[in-house]
Amino acid sequence: MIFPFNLLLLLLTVYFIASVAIRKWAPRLITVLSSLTLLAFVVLNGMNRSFNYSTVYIISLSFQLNFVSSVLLILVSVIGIFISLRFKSSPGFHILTQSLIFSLTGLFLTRDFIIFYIFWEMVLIPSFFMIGMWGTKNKDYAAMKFFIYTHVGSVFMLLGIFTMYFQEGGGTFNMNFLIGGIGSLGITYQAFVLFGFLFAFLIKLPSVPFHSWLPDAYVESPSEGTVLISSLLSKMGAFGLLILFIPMYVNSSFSSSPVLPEVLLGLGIFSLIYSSLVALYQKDMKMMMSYASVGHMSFITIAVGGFLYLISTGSSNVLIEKLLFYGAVFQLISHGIIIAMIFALVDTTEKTTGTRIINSMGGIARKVPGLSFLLLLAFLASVAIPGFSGFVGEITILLGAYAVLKYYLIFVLIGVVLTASYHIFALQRSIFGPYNEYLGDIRTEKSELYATVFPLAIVFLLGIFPGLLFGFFNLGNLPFMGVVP
Amino acid sequence: MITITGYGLGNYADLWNIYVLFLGAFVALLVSMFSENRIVHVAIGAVFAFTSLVMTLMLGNLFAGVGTGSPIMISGFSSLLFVTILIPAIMSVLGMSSFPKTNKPGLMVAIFLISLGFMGLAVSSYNLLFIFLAFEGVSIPTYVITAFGKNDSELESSIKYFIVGAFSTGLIIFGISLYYIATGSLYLGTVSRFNEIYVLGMGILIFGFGFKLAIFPLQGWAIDTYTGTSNPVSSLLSTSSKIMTLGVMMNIFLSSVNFFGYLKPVFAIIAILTMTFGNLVAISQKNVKRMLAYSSIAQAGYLSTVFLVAGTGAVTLAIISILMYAMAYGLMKGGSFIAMNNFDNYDLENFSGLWKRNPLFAASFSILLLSLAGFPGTLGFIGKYFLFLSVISTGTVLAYIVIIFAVLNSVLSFYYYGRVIMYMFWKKGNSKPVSSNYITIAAAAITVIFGVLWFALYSYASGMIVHLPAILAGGI
Repeated sequence: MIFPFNLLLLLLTVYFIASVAIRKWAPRLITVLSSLTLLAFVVLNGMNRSFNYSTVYIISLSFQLNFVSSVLLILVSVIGIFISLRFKSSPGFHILTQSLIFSLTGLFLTRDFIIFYIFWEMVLIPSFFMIGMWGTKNKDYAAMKFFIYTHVGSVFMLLGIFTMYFQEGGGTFNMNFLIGGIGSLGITYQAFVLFGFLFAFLIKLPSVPFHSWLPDAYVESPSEGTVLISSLLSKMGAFGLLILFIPMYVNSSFSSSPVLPEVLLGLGIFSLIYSSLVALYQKDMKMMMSYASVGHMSFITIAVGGFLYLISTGSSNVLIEKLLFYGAVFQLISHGIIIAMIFALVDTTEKTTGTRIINSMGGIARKVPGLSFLLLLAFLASVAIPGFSGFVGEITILLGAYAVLKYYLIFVLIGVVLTASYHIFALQRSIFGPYNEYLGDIRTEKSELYATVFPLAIVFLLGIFPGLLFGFFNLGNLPFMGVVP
Repeated sequence: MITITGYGLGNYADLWNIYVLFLGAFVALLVSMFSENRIVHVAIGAVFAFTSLVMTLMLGNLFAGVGTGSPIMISGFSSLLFVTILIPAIMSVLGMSSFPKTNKPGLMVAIFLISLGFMGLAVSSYNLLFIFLAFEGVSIPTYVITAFGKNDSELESSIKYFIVGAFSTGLIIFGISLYYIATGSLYLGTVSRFNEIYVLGMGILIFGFGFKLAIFPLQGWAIDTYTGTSNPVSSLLSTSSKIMTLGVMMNIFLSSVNFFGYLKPVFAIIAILTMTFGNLVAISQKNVKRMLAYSSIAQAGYLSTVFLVAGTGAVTLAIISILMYAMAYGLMKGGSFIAMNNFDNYDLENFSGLWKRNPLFAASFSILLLSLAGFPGTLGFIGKYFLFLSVISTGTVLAYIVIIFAVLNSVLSFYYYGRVIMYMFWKKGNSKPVSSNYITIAAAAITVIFGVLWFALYSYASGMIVHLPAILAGGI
């Protein structure tokens, strides 16, 4: 069965207009409706379909639903449903969420660079307003920093797009065409293009030297904003790396040089260890989990670096490439859901105990066992304990990375151990041990906990039955990958 | 001795879209004998400007039938440029319904229409003498209209404008005389015989005309004048007058083949300095109107990157994009200057909580600011990035350096535009009700509509400049 893409856009637009027109109770319900529509779009199209409409001057209206975008759209719809179940935010927030969903849908599906850039930037506006209008004390600074930081990356991406467009001279911004022809550029132009894209994606991912917008943006956002930004926006960078940067690099003249893949691998490992060490030091639980998010996303950098390393050294091995690529895609959805769950629970904890400072809590399991149990499970999922989806993603990437890194894998494993240590350390100080009597008599709101069970169920399901998603993965469905069978 | 032999005088007979503006000036003066009702005069101004707009659009591309050497030609380029001048001018004249404070609105509208008419002549002149006359015809009325409210700040701004203007007139005359010595002709695109004198003359002309564009070393007057004078006049000076200057400079410099070697590095430096200076100083401004003045300096820097395409195949694309950018620039700058009409003081604090006080107005003003910052979905993005696209398409190192500076500046500029948005949307403080400004709202709506449906503009513009004057396509 076919669910046409133009119908999807039409529906999302109608929903958006409806929620702006009605306001009050409507936006929250309509967010669920748009998420469900999006889910139906992905499922009915069988996670693999192309939509080609006409070309408007130099812009080609061509869209592709492949397994990467399907997984990310499923993530978007899950988070959309979770946000409206869990948070009773103001209508304005849900309206912004809908515009975010709309932009992300376009972003993950388009096969045209200009449309990609437009949606890439359109995402910033709702996030800027989310941080600014409902954020906490330093929201102005955080919103501005977030906006300018990510905007810097994207303008270099835009210059890269322009360079490709002009140097290849096809008169089209179609991705398949421009990526395929990147090898025909002069070597300096190629380097410039690759730099522009990598810079934009690494900022958005974020990877360590470019991560400094992240703690501010995550901590100063309202909780619901943090959930959206952490679980959806960081996926834009990962999507770019997997779907755009890999084929660009493979098609470029640099494809036989392992320098950049090595840099990416090093960056990923450094990012993992650095973020874990910084997280270990944090007192604020939200801040700690922001760094945990950096750590988790660095697995994507490692996977992409490993994938490119295999291709550049010519030791192409289908199994390992699949392990790395599929693992990265699986890590995206797994991290997205887990981090959303964690930030929602941190929000509940903050409301319950009145603080986010880990040392100010203590033994809250004695008073609020339900919350503590969920927090424990969420943290374990984030540590990637077997049985949760985080494990599947990380172990797949680790298996693949072993083929590339060999004994250097020990550094990744050190990072994994550090990740586990700060999670456990935080749990130990906050929910276990003797009860901190200064907190007084605390209680949680049950409905908030019930809502959190929904993502937890998905994390569990994917953890024990990853084939549910892996069954759909097929590198052969990415027509531009060229070198990959 | 100036000779105009061998050429026709151009299509004078078809210039009714310009004559109608002068006609309107006399009508306004005539009516002022009987009535000094402000609304009537503003309506006269708007109607005549709008008539001229319609006539210009209907005129189409007359260039096809006329020889290259005519002093006055309505080419597709000049008529579209005149359209982009007229749109913000209509916004300005509508904004004149409340400011500047005067009891002679008839004279004000007449002066306004005269300057507008000369703008039309200036962009369609291809002879330096004609350009000079038309350019002065724009300058002198604008000196007057800047001081029209006769309060201290307006007089001060007019004096500053006048002194720099008079100085630059001298430069222009000197540059033109050197040009005549070097080429033996006043027509644009003439090949020089004495190259040193030619280069000197051209260099002097850059600064002579550049003062009105407010490029870097000559930007000083612009800040005080835009800030000090009344809002509609700021809008007129920073949009119509600036677009006109850009058009004139494009006519002159894109045809100066012997000068291309110097033109590009000079304009690269000017563009970088202008946009960086404008943005850096704008960041520290607490006064929104002054911030807008500095941002229009920065925008002049982006606009002057167009000269880097001189003599390459990218001229056509650059001209299409400069037309789109000029349109966007007029809408967003005019709209935001006129939005100031609704505020009694322009401190950033005074904008706080505008979202609660008047959501539609706040949203429209934010759209204009985002468009100024070059955000996708608005016409500002399309104009600015098409311009950068055309410059990049030349593929030179110089072009890349300039464009990297330009995009970084464009990112930086979000800091001060975003700060106003921040105040309007979530800072608390002021709760005085604000009335809607329909000019701003209309400008924002057009910015978004064409930002999405930009290809309509693109195809219209590319259809109009099929017969690009030969002198613009990289010399004769």
